[in-house]
Amino acid sequence: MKLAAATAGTCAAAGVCQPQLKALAVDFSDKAETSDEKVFTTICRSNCFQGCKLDAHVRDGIVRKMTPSPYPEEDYTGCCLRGLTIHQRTYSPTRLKYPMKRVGDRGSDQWERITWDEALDEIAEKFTEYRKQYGDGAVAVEAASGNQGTVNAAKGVLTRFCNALKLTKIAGCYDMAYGYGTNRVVGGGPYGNASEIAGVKDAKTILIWGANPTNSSPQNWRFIEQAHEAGVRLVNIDPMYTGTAAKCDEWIPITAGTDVYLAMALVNYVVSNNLIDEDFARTRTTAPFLLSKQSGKILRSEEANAQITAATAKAPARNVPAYVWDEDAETYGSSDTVANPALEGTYSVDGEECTTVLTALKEAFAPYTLEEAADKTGVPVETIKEIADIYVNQGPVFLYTVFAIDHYQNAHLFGQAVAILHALTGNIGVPGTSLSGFWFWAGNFNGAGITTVGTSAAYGKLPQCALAETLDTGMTAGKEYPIKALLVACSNPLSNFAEQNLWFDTILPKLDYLVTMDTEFTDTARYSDLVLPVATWLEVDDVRVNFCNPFVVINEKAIDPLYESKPDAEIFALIAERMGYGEDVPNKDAKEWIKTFMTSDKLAADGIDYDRLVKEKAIRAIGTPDKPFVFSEKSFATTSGRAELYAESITPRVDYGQDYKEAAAKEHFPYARDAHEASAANNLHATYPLVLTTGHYRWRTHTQWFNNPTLRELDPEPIIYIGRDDARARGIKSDDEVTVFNDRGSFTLKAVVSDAVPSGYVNMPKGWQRNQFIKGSYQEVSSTSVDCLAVNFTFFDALVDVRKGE
Amino acid sequence: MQYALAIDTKRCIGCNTCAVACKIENNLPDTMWWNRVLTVGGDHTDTPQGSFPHLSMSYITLSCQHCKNPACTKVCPVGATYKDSETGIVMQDYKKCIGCRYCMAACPYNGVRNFNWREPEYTFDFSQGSEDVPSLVKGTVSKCILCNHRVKKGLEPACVAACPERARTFGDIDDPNSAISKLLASRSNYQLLDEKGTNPSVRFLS
Amino acid sequence: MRKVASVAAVVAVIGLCAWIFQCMNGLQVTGMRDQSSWGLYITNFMFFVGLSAGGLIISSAPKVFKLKGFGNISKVAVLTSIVCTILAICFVVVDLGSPWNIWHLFVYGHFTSPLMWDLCVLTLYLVLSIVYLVMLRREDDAAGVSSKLRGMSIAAFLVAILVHSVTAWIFSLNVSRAFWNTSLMAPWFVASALVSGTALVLVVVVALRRAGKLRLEDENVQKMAFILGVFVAVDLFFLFCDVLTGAYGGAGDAYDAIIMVLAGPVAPFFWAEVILGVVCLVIAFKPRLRASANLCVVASICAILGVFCKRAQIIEDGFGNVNLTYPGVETGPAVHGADGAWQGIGSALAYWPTGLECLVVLGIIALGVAVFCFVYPKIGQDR
Ligand SMILES: Nc1nc2c(c(=O)[nH]1)N[C@H]1C(S)=C(S)[C@@H](COP(=O)(O)OP(=O)(O)OC[C@H]3O[C@@H](n4cnc5c(=O)[nH]c(N)nc54)[C@H](O)[C@@H]3O)O[C@H]1N2
Ligand SMILES: Nc1nc2c(c(=O)[nH]1)N[C@H]1C(S)=C(S)[C@@H](COP(=O)(O)OP(=O)(O)OC[C@H]3O[C@@H](n4cnc5c(=O)[nH]c(N)nc54)[C@H](O)[C@@H]3O)O[C@H]1N2
Ligand code: SF4
Ligand code: SF4
Ligand code: SF4
Ligand code: SF4
Ligand code: SF4
Ligand SMILES: [Mo]
Repeated sequence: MKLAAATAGTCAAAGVCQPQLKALAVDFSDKAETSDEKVFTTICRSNCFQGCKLDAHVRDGIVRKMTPSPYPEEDYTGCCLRGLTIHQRTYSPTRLKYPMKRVGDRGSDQWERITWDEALDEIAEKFTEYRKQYGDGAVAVEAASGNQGTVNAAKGVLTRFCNALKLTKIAGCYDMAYGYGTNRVVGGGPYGNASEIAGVKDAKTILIWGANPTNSSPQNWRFIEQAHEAGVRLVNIDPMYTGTAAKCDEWIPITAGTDVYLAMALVNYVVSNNLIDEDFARTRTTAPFLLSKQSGKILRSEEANAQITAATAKAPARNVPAYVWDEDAETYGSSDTVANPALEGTYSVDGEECTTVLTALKEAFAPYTLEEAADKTGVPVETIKEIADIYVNQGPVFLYTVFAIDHYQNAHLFGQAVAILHALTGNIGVPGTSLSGFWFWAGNFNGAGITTVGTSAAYGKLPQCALAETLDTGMTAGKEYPIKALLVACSNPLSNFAEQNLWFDTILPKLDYLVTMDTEFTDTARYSDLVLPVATWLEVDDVRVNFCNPFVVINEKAIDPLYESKPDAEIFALIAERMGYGEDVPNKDAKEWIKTFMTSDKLAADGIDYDRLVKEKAIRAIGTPDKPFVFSEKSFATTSGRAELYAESITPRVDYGQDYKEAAAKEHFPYARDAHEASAANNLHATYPLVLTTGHYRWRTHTQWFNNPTLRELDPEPIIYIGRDDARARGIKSDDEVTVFNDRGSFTLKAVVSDAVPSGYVNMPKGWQRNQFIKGSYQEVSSTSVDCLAVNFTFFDALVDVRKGE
Repeated sequence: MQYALAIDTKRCIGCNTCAVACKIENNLPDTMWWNRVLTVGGDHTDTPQGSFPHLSMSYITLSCQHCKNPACTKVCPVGATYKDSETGIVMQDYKKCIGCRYCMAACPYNGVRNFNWREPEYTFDFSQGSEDVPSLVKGTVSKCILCNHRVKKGLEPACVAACPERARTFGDIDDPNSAISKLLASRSNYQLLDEKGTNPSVRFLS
Repeated sequence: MRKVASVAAVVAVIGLCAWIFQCMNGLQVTGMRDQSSWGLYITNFMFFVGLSAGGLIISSAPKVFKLKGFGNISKVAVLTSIVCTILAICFVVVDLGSPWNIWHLFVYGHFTSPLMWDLCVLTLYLVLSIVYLVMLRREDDAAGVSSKLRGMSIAAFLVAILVHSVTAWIFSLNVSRAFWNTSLMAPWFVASALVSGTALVLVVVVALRRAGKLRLEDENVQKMAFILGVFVAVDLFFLFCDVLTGAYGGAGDAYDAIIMVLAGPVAPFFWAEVILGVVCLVIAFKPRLRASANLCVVASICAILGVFCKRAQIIEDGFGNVNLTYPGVETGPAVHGADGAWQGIGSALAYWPTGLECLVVLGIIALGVAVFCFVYPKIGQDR
C-alpha cells in the first residue's frame, strides 16, 4: 500500500524550480510613496506566531494602509490579509471609544459612557476593598495572547501590576500540553522545542503532523514551499484534507486523537528492529544511562545527585552525568568519561539491578505493535512503516507540528513519544530538524526589568481551566480562595476558554466585578461590568521579540490614541497609582520601558541595544542568515544535557492541588491512551458520533478581526464543514442551517458540505463571537476537562452531533 | 511592451492577501473586489474536489487578464476601456464611460469588471491606500488596471508586493529578458480560457 | 383612444419618476449585478427592435415583392414600428449607468463596437421609417404605388433586416458566452422579429378595428395569421437547429449551454417559448381556428410572449452560462439588501428584475402607447 498521494505532486525537477527563488524576489519598498506620506515601522502583534513587520502609511494623520515591511533578510518579509487590515481595527466603526459602564443586566448591551476618572476611581476602590476583605488574590487578572508585544502585552506592565499588588494572575492553558510532553525529553519548557523555520531547507523531509500552516502560519509556509521546490519532501498527517494537504507530496489521513498510538508504534518499530541512530543515542540521549529496577531512578554518583538536589528553578541543574555500562571495562562508569557505553543490557551496579534506559524503553514500548496502531489510527501498517523509513533513512526530519494534537487530552504523551522518536533516530539537535513548527524564542531580553517589583509576586497557580471550579467552591489547592473581581486584558476568555456555559452558570454569577480592557465589544466585554478602551497597536510604542523568526522589532507609534483610548501600560499605572502603588507601577513613557527591555549584559555582548533598534528597526538576535538557529544543537536543556528517554521525575505543569500522583507514576515512559472524549471508545460516541475541530483559519486570529468589515466581506458568517456521508444521513445540504449540540451546549449556523471532512467529524473556523451566530457559540460544546498533569485546554477533544435546523 | 502577471498556482495558498491588498491600495468601496481568490475544487470556497480521501484542491486568483486581444475594448462604444499602447495595460477611463456595461457582457472572465452600481460606499470615512488612485464614479465600470499608478513609479503592483508566498510575478512579457519571461520560459503555464482567443497576459504557472 | 392615451401618459410619468430615482441612486436599484450586467432593459431593447423591424417588414414586403398586401395596415404597421424604435432607444438610455454622458457617443464614438453600429442603424432606420410613413400618407392621395415609394420600401425593408441583425450581433459577436456566440443568431433574430412584429401589428389592427378606428376585412386578418404561422414555423426551425447543434456534440461548451437551456433554471422560459409557438402554429394553420379574429389575437399574443421569453432567455442564459464557475467571494452589492437574495452562480437565475425596473419598463411601454394614440389619428386610414 502506497501513501495516499496528494495531487500537488512533487516538484520533480528540483533543478528547474530552484533558480527562480531569487528571480522572483519582490522589490519591497518601505519608502514613502508621496511627499506628504509618513511611514512608520510597526509589527503585527496577533498571536499567529508569525511576527510580520509592517509599514504604516500615514497621510494627514490617518493610517491609510499597511504594507509588508522588509526584514533585513528578504525571506522573512511578508504579511497576511489580517496584517493589511490592522489600521481598520484602529478606525473600526464599532471600536470601543470611551470607558463604558454597564447599566442593564450583564450581556444586555446597555451601557453608559463614563469618564476615565470615574472608571479608574471605581476600579481602584473596588479592588482595594476586595483585597482588604478577601486577600490580595481576590482580584484576578486574566491576560492571554491578544498582544504579543512587550510593554502593553500580558508579559509587560500588566505582569508588573500583578506582581506589585500580588494579585492572582491566571495561568494560561493554551497550547501547553505538547511542549509539556517534549519538555520531559528535550527540556526547554513548553515551547523550547523547535528550530528556526529557515532551517527547513536543511531537512530532507518536512513532516507536517497536526498543523495547517497554509492557514495558520502563512509566513512559515513560504519557507516550507521554498524547501519543497528545492526537493525537500513534504508529508502531512491530518484527519482532514486541508490547503496544506493539497500542497504536500503525501497526505496521510489519521483518526483524530490517536496520534500517540502512531508515535508509540513508530518508536517500538524503530527500536525493536534496531533501526536507531546508535551513535546519536549513545552520545546525545540517555539511552545508555543505567536505570535502577527497584527505585526507577537513574543511577548517578553522589556528587551528581547532590548537584540535582541543589538545583532551583532559576538555576537548574544541567549536564549532570549518570552511570553507564562501560563495555570495554565491563563495569559501570560516568557517562562523561566512558567512551563506549553499552546501549542495552541488564547489569548490576553495586548490587542494584539495573538496565540501560534503552532496554527499559524497549520493554515499555513493546506492546505497541504496528497492527494495533493501524487499528487505532486508521493508518495502514505499510504506511506506518513508510513513516518509520522517513525517520530512519530520509532525515533530517523537520517535524512541523503545531497545536492541533495539543488540543486533545493525550497530547503530552504524544509530545513525549514523538520527542523520543526523534531522539532515537537522530532527528534532533542537528540542522534540518525540529520538534515543532512553532518556534518560540525568548532571547536575552530584560523582560524581568519590566515585570519584577522586588520579591513581590502574583499568585500564578490558578489555571484558566479551573477558574469556574475555583469560583464555585471558593477553594483552591484545598484552601479557601475567594475571587471577587476579574480584570481582563489582551484576552477574550468568555469566547476562548472551553465550555462557555460555565461563564453563564458559574463564573459570571460568582464574580462581583468584571472589567475588560479591549478595543472591541468582544464576548467578554459584552458581559463585563466595566469596559475600558485601550489603544491599538498603531497608537503605542512597543517592541516585539518574534516567535517564528529571529528578529526583535520596534513598533513605532504611528498616530496618537483615538477617542479616549489609552495604552494598557498607562491604564495599569493609573489604577496602581490610585491604589497606592504608583511607585511600583510608574506611568512611564513606553520608550523607557523598551529601553529597559533592551538592556542586558548578554544583549550588550551581542552588540544589541535600544539605539541600534531605533535605527535598524529590526535586528536578528539569534542564529545567522547562513546558519539558522538549530534547537539543542550543543546540548539539551535537561538535567543530563541529553535527550532524556526516561522521565525521572514527573510534576504537573501547574500544581493547583489536583490529584496527579497516580498518573505521574505511569509516565516515566509515555504510553498510549485514547483521547478523553473524542474517541470511538467513549460511551458518548453512540449519542454524539462527531468530533468537532475548530481550526485556526486565515479569516481571524482567534477572535481578533472578528468584525473587521473587509474580512467579513470575504467570510461573512460562521460556517461548519460537514462530510458528505454525515450530511446525507442528516438530510443536510450546503447552506442549510444546522445545530451542533452535546450535553454541554449547542450552536446554530450555516453548514457547508465538504469532501475534505471524513465521516465522523465536523470542522469549523474558530473565532466568531456569540452575536455572529444564529444561536449560541461553538465554545458552548467544548469541555474543560483536562489532563491532571498537562493542565491544558483540550478544545478538539469533544463529541457532538448535528441536526438540521434550530 | 506588455505588462503581465504570472501566478504560481503551486505556491498560491489562497490566502486572500492579494485580494485585500488590491482592495485597500485602490480604495475600493465596500463589496467591490478587483482581484478575487477562487477555489479550484468543490462547490464552496476551500472545499476540494473528489471523494475522501482522493481529493484535490488549488486556488487561482482572478482579476482583469489584460488580454492582448481584449474582448472588452472592442465593444466599448466610447473607447472608455482601452489598451494602453505603451504598457499593454487595459485601462479604464471613468470620465468617458457611459455605463452601458457592454464590456462586462463581452469579457469572458466573469467578475473581473466591476460596475459602480451605486455611489461608492465606504465603511471608513477616509480614503485608504494610495493617494494617486482616481476616485471611482457611480454608473461607470472599474477594474484592475495593473496598479498603473504604482507601476509608473517603478513599484510592483500592490497584490504582488503583498503576496506572502511570492506567488505573483509582474513584468513585461514582451521582453524576453525580463524575470517574468524567463520564469514563463522555465515553467509550464497556461492562460485562463485560452480557447476564447483573448490571449490573456495573466499566466498561471502549473 | 384619448382615454387610453391619458392613462398611458400617467403611467409614463410614473416610469419617468422611477427612472429619475434610478439615476439618483444608481443601478443598484435594479436586479443587475456584475455577473449579470444586463437585464430587463436590454431584454426589452432586443424585443422592441424586433417588434419594430417586424412591423416594418410586413408593411413593406408586399410593396417590395409586388405582392398583394394585408389590406389597410401599412401605415399602422409603420407607425407601430416607429413607436417601437423609439422605445427601443429609450430602453438603451434607461439602461445606461451614466445617461448624462450619453453625448460621449457622438463625441468619442468608437466604431468597433456593435452597439455603435446598432445606434447608427437604428437612427437611420427611425429616420427612414418616418420618411416612409410620411410618404405613405402622401401617397394616399395618389393612385398606385409610385416607384419612389417602392424604392423607399426597399430601403426600409433592408434597413429593418439590418437593424435586427446588428442587434443580434451585439450578442453573437461576443466570444464571452458560448450561448450567444453563434452565427445563427442574426437570421434567427430576423425570424423572431417577423413573428413578433407581425403579431403586434395583428393585435393592434384588430384592436383598432374593434374600436372602430380601422376598416379591415377578416380575410386580411386570416392572411396575417397564416403568415404569422409561417414565421413562427421558421422561428421554431431555427430553435430546433440551435438545440440540435448544441446537443449533438454530447459535451463541451455548446452542449453545456444547451443543457442549461433545456433543464437549467431558465428552462421554463425555453419551454414557454416552445409551447406558445406551437399554440400559435395550431391556430394559424387550422383554417377553422384562424377564422376567428379573437383566436388570431390569441395566437399573436402567444407569439409575442414566446419571442419575449426567447429574449429574456438570451439574457438569463447568457449570463447564467458563466465560464469560470469556481467559488469565491462575489463582488458588488447584494441585490436585495443585506440578506442578499442573489443565489450565486448556477444555483438559480442569474438575474431577476426589481419592481423599479418593471415600473420603468411599463413607463416606457406606456409612453409608446401614448405616442401611438396621439399620432394615429393624424396618419389617416389607408385607402
Ligand atoms: N474552541 C476553541 N477554542 C480555542 C481554540 C481552538 O482551537 N478552539 N484555540 C485556543 C488557542 S490555541 C488560543 S492561543 C486561545 C487564544 O485566545 P486569546 O488569547 O483570548 O486570543 P484572542 O481572541 O486573540 O483575544 C485576545 C483579545 O485581546 C485583545 N487585544 C489585542 N491587543 C490588545 C492590546 O494591546 N491590549 C488589550 N487590552 N487587548 C488587546 C483582542 O482585541 C482580543 O479581544 O484561544 C483558544 N480557544
Ligand atoms: N490565521 C490564524 N493563524 C493562527 C491562529 C489563528 O487563530 N488564525 N492561531 C495561532 C495559534 S494561537 C495556534 S495555537 C496555531 C494553531 O495552528 P495549527 O495547529 O496549525 O492549526 P489548527 O487549525 O488548530 O489545526 C491544524 C490541523 O490539525 C488537524 N487536526 C485536528 N485534530 C487532529 C489530530 O488529532 N491529529 C492530527 N494529526 N491532526 C489533527 C486539523 O484538521 C488541522 O488541519 O495557529 C496560530 N496561527
Ligand atoms: S496575523 Fe500573522 S501572518 Fe498575518 S500579519 Fe499578523 S503576524 Fe503576519
Ligand atoms: S496573496 Fe499570493 S498566495 Fe495568497 S491568494 Fe494571493 S497569490 Fe495566492
Ligand atoms: S480580462 Fe476581460 S476586461 Fe480584462 S482585458 Fe480581457 S476581456 Fe478585457
Ligand atoms: S460600460 Fe463604459 S467602459 Fe464598458 S463598454 Fe460601456 S462605456 Fe465602455
Ligand atoms: S495589479 Fe493592482 S489593481 Fe490589479 S489586482 Fe493587483 S493590486 Fe489589484
Ligand atoms: Mo494557540
